[in-house]
This record gives sequence, structure tokens and C-alpha cells, in this order.
Amino acid sequence: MELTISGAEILAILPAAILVVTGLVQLFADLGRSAEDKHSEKTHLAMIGVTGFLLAFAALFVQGSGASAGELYAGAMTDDLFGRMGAGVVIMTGLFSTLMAGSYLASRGSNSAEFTALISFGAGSMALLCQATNLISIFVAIETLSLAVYVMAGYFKDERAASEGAFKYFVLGAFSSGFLLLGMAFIYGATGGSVALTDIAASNGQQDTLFSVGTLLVLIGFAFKVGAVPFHSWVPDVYQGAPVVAVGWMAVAVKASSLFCLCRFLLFTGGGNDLAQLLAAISVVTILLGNLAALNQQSLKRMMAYSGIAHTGYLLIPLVVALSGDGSSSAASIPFYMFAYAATTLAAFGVLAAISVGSDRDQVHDLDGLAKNRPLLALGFTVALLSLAGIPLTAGFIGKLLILSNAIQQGFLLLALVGIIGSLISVYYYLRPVVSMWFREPKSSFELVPASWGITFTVALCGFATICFGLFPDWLIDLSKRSVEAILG
Amino acid sequence: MDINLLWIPLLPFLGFLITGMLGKKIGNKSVNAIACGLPILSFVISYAAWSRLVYEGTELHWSGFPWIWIEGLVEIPFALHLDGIAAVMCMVITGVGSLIHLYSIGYMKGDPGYHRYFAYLNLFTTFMLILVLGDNLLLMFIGWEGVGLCSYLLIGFWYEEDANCAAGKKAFIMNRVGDFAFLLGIFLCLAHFGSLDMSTLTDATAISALSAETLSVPLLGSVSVISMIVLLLFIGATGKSAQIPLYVWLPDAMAGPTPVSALIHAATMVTSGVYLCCRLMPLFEAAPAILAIIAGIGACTALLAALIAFGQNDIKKVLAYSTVSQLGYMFFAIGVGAFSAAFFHVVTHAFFKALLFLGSGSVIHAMHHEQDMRKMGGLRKQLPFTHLTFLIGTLAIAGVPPLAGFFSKDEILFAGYQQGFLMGVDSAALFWGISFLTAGMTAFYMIRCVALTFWGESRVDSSLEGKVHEPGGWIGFALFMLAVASILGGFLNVPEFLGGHATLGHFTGLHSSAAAHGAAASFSPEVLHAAEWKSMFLSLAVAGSGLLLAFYCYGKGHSLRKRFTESGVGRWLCRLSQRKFYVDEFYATVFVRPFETMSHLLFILIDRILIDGILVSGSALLTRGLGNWFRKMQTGFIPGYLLTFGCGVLLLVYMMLSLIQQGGAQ
Repeated sequence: MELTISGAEILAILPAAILVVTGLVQLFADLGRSAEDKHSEKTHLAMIGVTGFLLAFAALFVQGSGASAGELYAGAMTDDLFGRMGAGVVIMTGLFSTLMAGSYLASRGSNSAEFTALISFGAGSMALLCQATNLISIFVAIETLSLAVYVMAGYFKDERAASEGAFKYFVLGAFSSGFLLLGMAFIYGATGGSVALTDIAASNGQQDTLFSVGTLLVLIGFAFKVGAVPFHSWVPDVYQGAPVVAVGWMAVAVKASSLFCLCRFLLFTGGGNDLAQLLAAISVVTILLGNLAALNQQSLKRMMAYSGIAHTGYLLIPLVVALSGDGSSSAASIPFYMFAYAATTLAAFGVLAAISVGSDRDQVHDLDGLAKNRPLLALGFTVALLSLAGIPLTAGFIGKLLILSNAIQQGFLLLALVGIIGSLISVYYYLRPVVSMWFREPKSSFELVPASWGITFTVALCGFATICFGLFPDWLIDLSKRSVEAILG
Repeated sequence: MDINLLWIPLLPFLGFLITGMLGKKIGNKSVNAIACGLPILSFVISYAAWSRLVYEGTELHWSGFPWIWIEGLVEIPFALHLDGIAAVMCMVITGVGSLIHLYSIGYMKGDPGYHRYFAYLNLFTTFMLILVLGDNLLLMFIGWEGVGLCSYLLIGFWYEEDANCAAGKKAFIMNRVGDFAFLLGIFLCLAHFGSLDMSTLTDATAISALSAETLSVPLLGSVSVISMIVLLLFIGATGKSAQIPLYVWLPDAMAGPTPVSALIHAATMVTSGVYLCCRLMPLFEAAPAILAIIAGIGACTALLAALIAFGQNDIKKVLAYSTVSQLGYMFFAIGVGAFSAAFFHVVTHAFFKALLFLGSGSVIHAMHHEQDMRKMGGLRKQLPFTHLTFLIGTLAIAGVPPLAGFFSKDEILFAGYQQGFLMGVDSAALFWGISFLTAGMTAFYMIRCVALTFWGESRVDSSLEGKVHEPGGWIGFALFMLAVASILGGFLNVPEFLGGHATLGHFTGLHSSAAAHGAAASFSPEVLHAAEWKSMFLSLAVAGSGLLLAFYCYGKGHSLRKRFTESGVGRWLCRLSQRKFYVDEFYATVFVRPFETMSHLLFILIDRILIDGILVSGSALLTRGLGNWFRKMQTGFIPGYLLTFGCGVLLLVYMMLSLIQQGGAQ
């Protein structure tokens, strides 16, 4: 077989390739450094990372000029706006995570290039996942990104919680990958041997029970990655043990890329009302359990873990709506919501990174009096929390508004109601840190947090972006709509 | 040169940002320069925009950006528009506003919250300009709420004293009642016009298309949509512009610094209700029934406030009630269809009432924050300049020709006269009578105020002896400029029968009477002019007799006042006026106290028992129970997790299969 690679194909993998090279350069740049070095901030790693991410981001726009939604690499991946949106979320998240990593890890005395390199490698595979269009490339991309994330979860290898969390994540991840693969095999069988999503959509095996169960199993594999109930048990443990910056990275990037891919997968395979009903059930349980479990958490990381679960629940609503009828328009809220969620979550985890001096401090009362010492950080965190709670003027509000109004319009009143109740509950626990920051006196020995410029910059910019998306959402909504329309077109 | 309207509100907003955030760092001198300079610059731009309008006839428009934009459903842009009315208002706001900013430099000297004060003042100017320039009702509402906020902040500016905070809250809550109605009005407009743009709301075809539509309203039955909208908007206006029944906040608002009372609670913010009516003139004219109500409310407010002003001893309270009374005049004018007269009175009132307030501020400043007129008297000697300017203001408000108030008030009274007698509307005649009477009372209580403060024997506290000096500098400058404006302001709109051209009326395009838009038979110029002369002589006579009576009562050696206050009826009336007709007490009994009782009851029933007791503690117990259960599940052991996972998969697959089976069975 003759191997030819077209220009469009090169452009399609350009962002991912740039990211992988960035990771390699970071590793090389850190070669031969001694152990004492682990306390330094290693700004050069961040600079390499930022350059790489910016280049990769720019590459997304290069693709834009030669836009092709057609099949590349024999149907293994595509290069459409939707994929680029997903890659965009991932790349921006990686950029800010890299910015924050240096000073945070330095204060923990374990700053080495593996961390930033893992972010870069992970980002590369996530970008590929967003563009993947056949079962094999989807599976490979998922496994690659998972490996990077497993290692990051256990990055503090001397800490019991970290190793424990990472190990659990790994074992459960392997378990879920089994289901994913099994589901893919079922689909492969039911459709008479097709792997590409377009072939699957065109095949006549869709009425087969085997096909339905296969789709469900694939869905379960993804549900694990995004932390949907009942496949969420790993989330709190892993978040608790992993470095704060890695948690922020995982929470956004893994969720974003998996959801983009799931969305593409479901829009192709359909699945009909049965799957929609199951997905609706998962969504309801996820929203309720996530919010309820977050209520009484004293640990901010665990709170964010459960809050992340709840947000996964909200994000499943548009998929339900899309599956049972009006496809593209309802799924359009997903890209927007992911952008909003990325900005918001990064700002929140930036603050958590900033207050973690020496060890991860993540109790709610650790924030007492933050507003007096670090007003900018406190403001950023407040904006982030308000956005997560879905208060107007923030991106989170618009995101929820899109999802819920769409669900109501399409007649999913009950689902929307659960979403609203969940949001109501969530206000309680999102406002607790706000009260701590603004209305409590600092404890007698308030350690002034060594927020580096990278963290402050991230919090400020992401907080600002949260407000911007909230005030001027039109262009992003428009882009999201077009991107979803591009999937099938 | 293109003028971007955005600059007009943006400049004071920049001033707010700078003085608010950096005020302490940059020092008072820079605060002065920024906080006063930017509104002055804004005035210059307003002037430029105004002259464009006058000489080139172009109404400036800034199309801004799409703001609340749901294609085909709600399309509200963030856009500014400057027509004749807005141009005049902008000039008044930035002009009088700048003078008051300058005045404040002298008045607020040494106050610990100096930069905070100027930041609020700048913010107020911003919102007021947005209110005036906003091209749709919602943007206007933003300004409307914003000025309310600034008013609240400035009334409670000296927040260390409880009374000031209470006054601020009272103003805020009273306004909230009106704002609620305003908001409902906006919703109705949106629902029936489908747009909030001023051009749509004043469009004759759009209004006539709606004229047949009715709404069924509880208690009122079937009401035409237009009437309902106008009524709701007017209720909103009664809150902001202090009309019956929502006027009681304005006198209490005098707790704020005096320049604030001059700017917000006399010259600009409180007239925004009148501005609203003028802006939406065609809409209001389409609801004649509501106009009659407006005329009644306006006239009654004018009378009631004037009656209360008789009995007040606090110099600022007198001025506050006179403001309420003058606002009543403006609404009376709206009610009888004389929109141009109402607007004219807004402008002249801004001049002379700002002058009076600043004059009183000058007195209060000189007297080391003494506001009780019983402890003043004879200040003419120590404060000759303040006395002169205050007297000019007083004569202007009393309607002495050719000062500003004479022309505007005469126009209002004539409009009432015309509708009441020429057109034979009985209610208008009655309300004209009330307003006519009030004109005499205005002259009386204002002279009383001057007499108690400046004339007669000195009753000044001995500790202040020799310390009372004329404040100079910016205070004097502002007084001078406003005195000039109060003298000349009336010439903006000299009526035709006096040889003028009604310039302001033509410029703004507002109707001067109900007859002008063909609601009734039009009259020949001869009849009109004869009536105008008659009305003018009547109002001169009533103002003159008010003045004379006051001179007689408060001049030297006259015992009339003493005899009156010591007679039984007299004492009773004085008491009634002093206690403000017990309206505050009435509100407290009817609204505040039952509300407090209900709140307390709800607090115990809902908050303590239902929410705290059952929901919170109950849900806490429940979640704790669930949490424990989860914890048992969340053992931390991988087999447990795998079990959950596996069960989940089995359950979902089972559900899937049974769903498919159901589907197959059908």
C-alpha cells in the first residue's frame, strides 16, 4: 500500500505534533539538573511550554484557512471546527496549567520537567481525541491521554494519598477501558466490520441489540473519564491526592476532550431514545449526587471534585436532548459550556495552588481573610465560584442558561428542573469559601501566600475571561453552533 | 467633527474610577482636578452636541452595540440618542452638576471621605446622563437605578450616624416601590410593542395600533394596554420624583451633604420622572384618563408639600418640601398636557432650586452645620452675598417677573387655566385652583424662610458669635453663576404673547397644551392671548399677595403671626404642618409595622422552624446519613469501587435491554 500524506493531513496533526515536540524539548531542557534544582521555579520550562502552546493554538488557525471537514488518514481523524474548538479548550488549559506549575511545584520541592512535559504530551493526545473519527483512533487517543494523567495524579510519589489515588485511578481506568473496548467490538460486530464513524452511521446494523449495548458500553467508558455517577468513585480520591495544578488540568482538559469526543460519537451513532433515557438517568443521578456530596465537604479539593461531577451532569443534558431529536442546536451548548468551565475552573484552581504553601492546603477555613491579603486572588476565586454557581454576568450563567433553556424548549422539563434544583443546592457550598475570604478575619498566623506571577496572571485572566464570556457570549455561542453543525456536514 | 455621545457619560465614569480607586493616593488636589474637570469636559461636549443640533439640526446617535440580543425575540441595543430634550437635560446635568462639583470643593473641605464623596458624585453624573441619553427604556432604567443607588450612597454619606443610614434606606425602599411599577411597565412595553426603543414607543402608528388592546387587571377590570403602561410608568415616576404617595423619602434625604441635596434631590435626579413623561409624550397623550390622574396627583402634592413647608424649622426641610411642591407643579403640567411647560419648569427649577440649596449650604457651612432656622436670624449682615443670591432664588421660585420661575410657572398655570376654563374640563379647573393657591403659598413660605434666616434679630448661638463668615472661593462662584441663571433662565422660553418665541418649546418639540395636538377645538390666537394675559395677572396677583402677607407676618412689629399661632385653629394647623400631616406615622402604622410583624412571624415560622429546623437540620441529618452510607461505599478499597462500577454497568445494560424489549413488543 502506498503511503501518501496530504497537506491537509499534516495540518490536522500539526497542533498535536507541536505539543509533543514541546514536551520533548522540556524534558531535554531539564536534563542533568541536580536535586536541589527542584526548589527553583524553572521559568524556562514554563516559557518553552507557553511558546509551544501558543504555537499549537496558532496552528489551529492555520488549519482554519485550509478548513476541511473531510476524512483524513483513511477516516481516522478529521479537521473540522468542532475538533478545533475542543483542541482550543485543551491547549488554553494546558497553557495556563504550565504557567501555574512552576512556582507551585517549586514550593513543594519537586519541580522537574516531567510534570510540564506530561501536560504537553497529554494535551497532544487530547487534541487528537477531539479530532478522532474512528473507533481505533478514539481508543488510542484515550489511552494515551489517560497514561499521562495517571502519572500526574501520582506525581507526589512520596505521599501516600497521591500514590493511592493514582493507583486506584489506574486500576479503575483499566477496568473502564475494558468496557470501552468491548463496546467498540460490539459495534464493530454489529455494523459488519466498520470502524469509521461515518461507516457506522451509514450501516444498517443500528437496529441490532448488539449495537445498542455496544454504544452503551462505549458511553460507560466515557462516563468514567468524565466522572459521571455511578462511575465517579475515583474522582474524590484522585483529586485529593493529586497536585492542585494537575487537578485543575485534569478537571478541565480530560473532561473537555472526552466530552467533545463523546458528543461526536453520539451524533454519529445516534442511539435513539433508549440511550437518551439512560443518559438522562445518569445525568439526573450525577447532578444530584455531585451537588449533595459537595454540600458538607470541608476540603476544597473534594468539594471541587464533587462540583466537577455535578457539572458533568449538566453537560450530559444537551447530549440527552441531542440524542432524542434536535441534534446540532442543542449540542451547541457543549463547546460554549466547556470554554466557560475552563476559564472558571482554572481561576479556581489557581487560587488553590496559590494558598498551598509547602503542602496542599485546601480546607475552607484556609481561605479566611484572603481578601485582605490578596484581593486580586480573592476576587478571581469569587468570580469563579459565582460562575460555577451560575450567577448572572458570568460565563457559567450563560452556559447553564443555554443548556437549561434548550432542554425546556425541547420538552425535557423534568431534566431541566433537576438541573435547576442542583444549581440551587450548589449555591450553598460555592458561597461558603466566598464568605471565608471576604467576611472572616485571617487566623493569627496568616501565611502570606507566595502567589507567583504565573498564578496571579492565570487567576486574573481567567477571572476576566469568565466575566467576558458572561457579558459578551454571542460570538462564542455562534462559534459553538457553527462547530456542531460542521460535525455532520 | 464627529461627536461620540458615549463620551458624555463616559468621562464622569472615568472620574469615578480614578477618584474611587486612587483617590487616597493621588491627593485632594488631583481629586479636585479630575472629579470636577471631567464633568466640565462632559459639559463642553454636551454643548457641542447641542450646538450641532441647533445649527445643523442633526440629532446625534451612538448606535453602540447589541446588548440583550435574542434574535427575533428581544433585541435591545446599548445605544445613546440625543434629541432636543436630552440635549437640554445634558446641559443642565453637566452644567449645574459641574457648578455643584466646584461648590463641593469648598463645602467638603477636610472631610475624611473627600475622595469617596467625589467618586459618588461622578458616578451619579454618569448614571444621570445614561438615564437621559439612553435610547431605550431599559437603558434608561439602568440609569434610573444607578442614580437611585448613588442617591442612597450619598444620603448615607456620613454613615456613622444611624439617622443618615435610615434616611438612605428609606429613600431606597420607597424608590423600590416605584421601580417595581416601572419595571412592570417596561415588561408591558416589551410584550406589546415588542421593542423598548424610544422611537418605537413614541411612534404614532405603533401607539394607535395598540390603542384598542386591553388587559384584564385584577381589581381594575379591563384596562387598555396603553393606559396600563402609562399608569405603571407614572407610578415609577412618583417614586423617583417624590409625588403622593411616595414623596416621604425626599425630605429625609436631606441627611446627605447639602451639595448632594442640590444636585440630586433638587436639580436633576428627582426631575427624571418628569423627563420620563416628556420623553414618552405621545404615549402619555394616548392615555387621557391617566393624564387626569397625573394632574390631580401633581396638584395635590404641590398643595400638601406647601402646607407642610409652612411648619418646618429646618432650612433644608423647607427647601425639600418646596422641591416636592414644585415637582407637583411639573406633574400637574404633564397632566394638563403642557409637556413643554413641565420641561421648562424642570430647567428653571434646576437653576433656582440648586441656587437655594447651595445658598442654604453656604449658611449651614458658615454656621458650623446648624440647620435650625430658629437659631439663625439676622445673617444678612454677616453673609451679604449669600443673602442676595438666596433672595434671588426665592423671588425666582415665588414667580416674580422677570426671574426664571415666573415664566415657567406662568406657563403651567396657563395650561391648567386653558384646559379648565377654555376647554371646560372640570377636574382641570379644580386642580388649577389648587395649583393657583399653592403659588401664593410658595411665595409665603419662601419669604418666611428668608426672613427667619437672614432678617430680623440675630438668634445665633453665642458660641458662634464672630465666627460666621461668608464662604468665598468656589462656593461664591457657584452661587454667582446659578444666580445669573436663575435671573436669565426664564428667557429661554418667553411665550409668544409677551413677544417671545417659545424657543425651548420649539426646540424640544414638546406640546404646550392638550389643545396643541388636536384633542379639542383649537382656539383663535386672540382668545388665547386674552386668556394668557388674564392668567398671568391672576398668578402675579396671587404670588404678590403671598409675598405681601409674608412680609407683613415676618416683618418688624407685626403681631398677626403671633395672634394666628396662638389661636386654637392656628395652633392646631401649625402642629399639623409641623408634624407633616402625620403621613410618616400613617405609613408606619399601615405599612411598616404590619410588615415588620409579618416579617417577624415569617422569620420564626419559615426561617427558624421550617428552614433551620426541618430543612437544614433535616437535610443535614439526611445528607449525613447518606454521607455515612457513601463512606461505607467509599471504603477506599478498590474491590468496593470495582463492585460499584460493575453493578452500575450491569444495571445500565439491564435497563437498556429491557427498554429495547419494550420497544420491540410495541
